[in-house]
Amino acid sequence: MATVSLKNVYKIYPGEKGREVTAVCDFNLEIADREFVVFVGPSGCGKSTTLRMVAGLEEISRGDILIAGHRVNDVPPKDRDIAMVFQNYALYPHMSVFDNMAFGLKLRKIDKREIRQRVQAAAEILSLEQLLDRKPRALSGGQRQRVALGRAIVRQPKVFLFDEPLSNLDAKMRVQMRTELVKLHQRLRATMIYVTHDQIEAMTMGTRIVVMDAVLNPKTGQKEGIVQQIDTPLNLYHRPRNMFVAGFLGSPPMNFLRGTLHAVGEGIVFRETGNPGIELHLDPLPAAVPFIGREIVLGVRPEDCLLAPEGQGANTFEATVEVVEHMGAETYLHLVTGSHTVISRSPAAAEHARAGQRQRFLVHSDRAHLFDPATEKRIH
Amino acid sequence: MLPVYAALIAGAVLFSFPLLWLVLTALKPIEQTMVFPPQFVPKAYYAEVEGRKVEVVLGPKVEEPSSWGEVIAGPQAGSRVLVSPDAKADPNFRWIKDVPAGWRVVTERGEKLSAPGSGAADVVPPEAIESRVKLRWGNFPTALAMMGGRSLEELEGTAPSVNSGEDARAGFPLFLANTVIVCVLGVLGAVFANAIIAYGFARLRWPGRDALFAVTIATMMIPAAVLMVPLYGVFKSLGWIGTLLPLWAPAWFGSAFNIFLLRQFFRTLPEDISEAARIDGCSEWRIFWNIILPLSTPALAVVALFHFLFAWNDFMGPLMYLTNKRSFTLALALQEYQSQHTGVQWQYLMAASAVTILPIIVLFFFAQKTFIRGIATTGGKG
Repeated sequence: MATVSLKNVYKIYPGEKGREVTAVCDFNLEIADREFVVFVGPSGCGKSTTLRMVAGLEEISRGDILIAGHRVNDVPPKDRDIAMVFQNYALYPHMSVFDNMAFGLKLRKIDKREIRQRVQAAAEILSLEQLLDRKPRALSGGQRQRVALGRAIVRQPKVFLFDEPLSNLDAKMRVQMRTELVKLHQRLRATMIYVTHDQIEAMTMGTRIVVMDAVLNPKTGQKEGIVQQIDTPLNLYHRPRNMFVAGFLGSPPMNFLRGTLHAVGEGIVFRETGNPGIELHLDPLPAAVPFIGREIVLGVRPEDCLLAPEGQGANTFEATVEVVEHMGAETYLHLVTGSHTVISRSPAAAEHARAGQRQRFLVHSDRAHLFDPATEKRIH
Repeated sequence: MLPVYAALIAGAVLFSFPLLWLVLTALKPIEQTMVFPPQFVPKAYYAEVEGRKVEVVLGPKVEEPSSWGEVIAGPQAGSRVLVSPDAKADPNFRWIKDVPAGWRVVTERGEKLSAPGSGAADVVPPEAIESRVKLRWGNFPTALAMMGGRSLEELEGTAPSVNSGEDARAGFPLFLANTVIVCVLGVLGAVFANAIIAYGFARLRWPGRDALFAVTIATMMIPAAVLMVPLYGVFKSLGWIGTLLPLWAPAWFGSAFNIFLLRQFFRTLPEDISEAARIDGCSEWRIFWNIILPLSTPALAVVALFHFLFAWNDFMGPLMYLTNKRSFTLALALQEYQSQHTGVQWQYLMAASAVTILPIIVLFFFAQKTFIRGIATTGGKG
């Protein structure tokens, strides 16, 4: 039952020759009770550092972190009532599975019977009952991760922290553990913060996602970890604030086409740079008006760029298929247009397409995004 | 494979030869210790002397036909000698028998440790000498008894003790106890102190850490000889001279090599185990004690063994600081023994040496797996 607040949190490391490195820059977030918040971003964006500041493993350089309304900046990790699951499991190799889970409880001088009950209950949830006497080295990667989870669960903490817990597992195990974690969240009704670099994990697990990026600060010449956008998965997907968020979420990533806007009668036409460029008719958008006659970036998700049905003329273009990737249920076509490579995510029906063919494609321009090339911010 | 094994066996024999010689010599009677050509296997010889079958000491071989008889006058009266056949007529000589070349003089072996025996001697043909392998285990208790400075005569009760007062109690059991005290206290100190210092260098962040570590490592460059006099001065002003303290107390302050060894080992242990423990509620001390130490047993075993070997074999330290016989360690007592008995009775010296090194050998056999693992380990994934 706990909220977590991060207020203007900075992490500044003393760098070489007195130059400071800002790993996390002005992080603000209010996490409600029972939320599952995911920090996502490329490596070096400060997401793990932020999590470690919440855990108490890193000092907070500036700003405040509150857990359940109490400022915890100077509270040691053990008194923050949190539990953390690490990327490399971080099990105690010399202890059995039972002792690994019970260690934190023993340190808190909890009654032996109670410890046994809690460990048993956690082992049941994670199907570890048969493994309680084993040492970690006798377990598989997935089992070790379960033990690490169990160690967190038995503590019954206010907040669970996960630092890329699935990245050491193989692909199949990862998908399985992903759903188990979501189920666990529903079952435990606890606040969870989850760090990952995998946008699929972020999209599938989070109730809210914090997208972070390492942005070059022109003043210092150093990269700083800055929050790009905080929202629910679908809002992020459909209304990304800028080109980074738009490109980071979604697989395959969004296509960005550079071009210019022109007014044609009532409507607006996007003309791709290069020859022959794609021409698309857009709905009249008030936001786009100031950009008429100027450069712009058009963002189109691969699923909004499909093989055109016979006879469709509007908002279609012809392009050469360069690569065909069969996914089974759908087909990814890599196209060469005027000056870009565009990925089309077409239904399985497109699987007859062959590399080298010229094909007509339809763009759902009503679902396209427009970005200002200078600021990379979304216009529409 | 065969040549490899052959080479390995040859090497093993070569390197274990001194040890083998030590043990075999310890089991010999004195007259077999220093002969040429060397005699490896301890033996006992039996022959008939004056009609009695007794154990004998082999004397010189008769080179050319001679006469065997007894001197009956002069200072040598009563002793038996070999003379050339021409000297048979000497009035001071009582002829017993003529002996051909190749026979051997044999003398009866005394039962007592110091006395040569009855002195009865005879000359017998080589085929009349019976030889058997005989390991003289009795050398060991005698040697240990002599380590306290007692002479053979004293042991037999034929001479009074030259030691008086407290020194009379100094003997092998006391030397062994002293050595064990020095080793055990030293090992405890070395393991504990080096581990805690290495933990500070390996896992904690504090200002000046790296500089201080460099200084620590630099102390390895100082030759021990340079430190002898200043250290003596320090221990003297502490009033520790003549006690065992200078031999084990310094171990409680760490040594550069062991600190380095443990620091490197600790650095291979994943940091996130410590962090997990911190979140679980461990203090820094508990992380060290409950997590890091149990995971470092191979490295700690190496430190313990290194220090044990050093302390057990240390000679220079006891020689400098121990002024009183009752505080002697085995290494020093052995040296003292050697100088007192001026290197004549090799069998006792070797017996005493064998007993002294025995614990080291036993320890090494038991610990060699851990020892090798500790040296070879790189700290794999848990």
